[in-house]
Amino acid sequence: MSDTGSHPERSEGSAGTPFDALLDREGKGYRSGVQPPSDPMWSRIERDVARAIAPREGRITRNWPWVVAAAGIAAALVLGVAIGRRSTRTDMPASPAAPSVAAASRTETPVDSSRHAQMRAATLNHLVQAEVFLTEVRADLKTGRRDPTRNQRSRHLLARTRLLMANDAGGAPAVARLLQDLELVLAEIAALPDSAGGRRSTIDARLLDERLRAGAVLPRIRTILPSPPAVGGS
Amino acid sequence: MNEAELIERVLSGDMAAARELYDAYVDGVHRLAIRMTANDELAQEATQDAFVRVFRGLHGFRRDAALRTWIHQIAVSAILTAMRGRKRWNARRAEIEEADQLVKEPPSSEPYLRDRLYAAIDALPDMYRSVFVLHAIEGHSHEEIAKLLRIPSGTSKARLSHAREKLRQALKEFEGESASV
Repeated sequence: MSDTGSHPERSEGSAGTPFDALLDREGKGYRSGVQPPSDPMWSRIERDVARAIAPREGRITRNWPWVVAAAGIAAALVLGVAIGRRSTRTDMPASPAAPSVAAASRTETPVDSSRHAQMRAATLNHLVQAEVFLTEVRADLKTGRRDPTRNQRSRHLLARTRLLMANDAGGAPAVARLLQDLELVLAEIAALPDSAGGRRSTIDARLLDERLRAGAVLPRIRTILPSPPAVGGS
Repeated sequence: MNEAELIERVLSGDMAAARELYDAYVDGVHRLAIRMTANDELAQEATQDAFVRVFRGLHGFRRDAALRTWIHQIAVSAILTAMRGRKRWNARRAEIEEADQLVKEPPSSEPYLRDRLYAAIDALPDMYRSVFVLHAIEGHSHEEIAKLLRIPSGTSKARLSHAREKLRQALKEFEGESASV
């Protein structure tokens, strides 16, 4: 895939001797003439691809948990705003963080502030549930256990993740990025086949485990969770 | 049709567009896979996994990056996963850590330097061949390799140096002919 990289300058670590130059020059021909078995490979992944690119609108109509999730978020927001208004009036003077955030919040109205706080609270609540779910899924993948509600729960959490993202619930860039990565992980879990077993299932499980490890999603969630000022400090 | 339109069609569920995207990149992904793994079967497995990941992640693809670069990163990750999945990576690593000075003898039947070179690259331990392929063939910097393989850039440099040394030892009888291949 020599034409897919970013092709940086070749100064560092590159050929220093005639032999190194030979390696670099002749190495470019290494296995360059191999023709991939495109059609057989495509036929093996075609079903997975079809499932992966299925239109999201269709998924919404098919999957009622989206609707439930939307209603749940909306209810939480309404409740949150009400609580936030009260807490803005009663808690702010006693908050030890108030002096440090006072300058930043001067331009925010009380309604903005309480909405922000409630969105953060909703995000925190969501991340708690996501952490529990991802931990369970990871354990299941290791033990081979199959949770029959896994796909449904992942779609439910996925819907909530997207709603929070759409409402800028992340607030801080790190949280926004975490929600984006969480969305990808949950989408992959939701796309896992319902039936356990088989080589495809093993590959899916492996890919998912790698995704969790590579994105460090769980450690990032855990980093955010025990940080009260980041959640309700504004 | 440009790339953005192709992506939109894929995301709308158009399998013909998905196949078009696959055809556009499968050669490169498979070539990278077979170079890094030196194994036909493993390369196919990694290529398939890479494209499954690509299509699953396409909804989240941020258009500020080039699709080619994004696919390349996914491909490298899938290839490494495939290599680890066969437990070859760890086995090779242990083998190398225990006997780092051991030089694998490539098949010596090939009379021509180029053939011997390719056989010697095949014979490199995975961890060395991966860095050699990404740097000497794919043109990545050590910083980029460090990110792709999740290793320190110093490790990437060291592995490249080891790879070159092993190739040099395997081809030492040709060293005087370096300029005339």
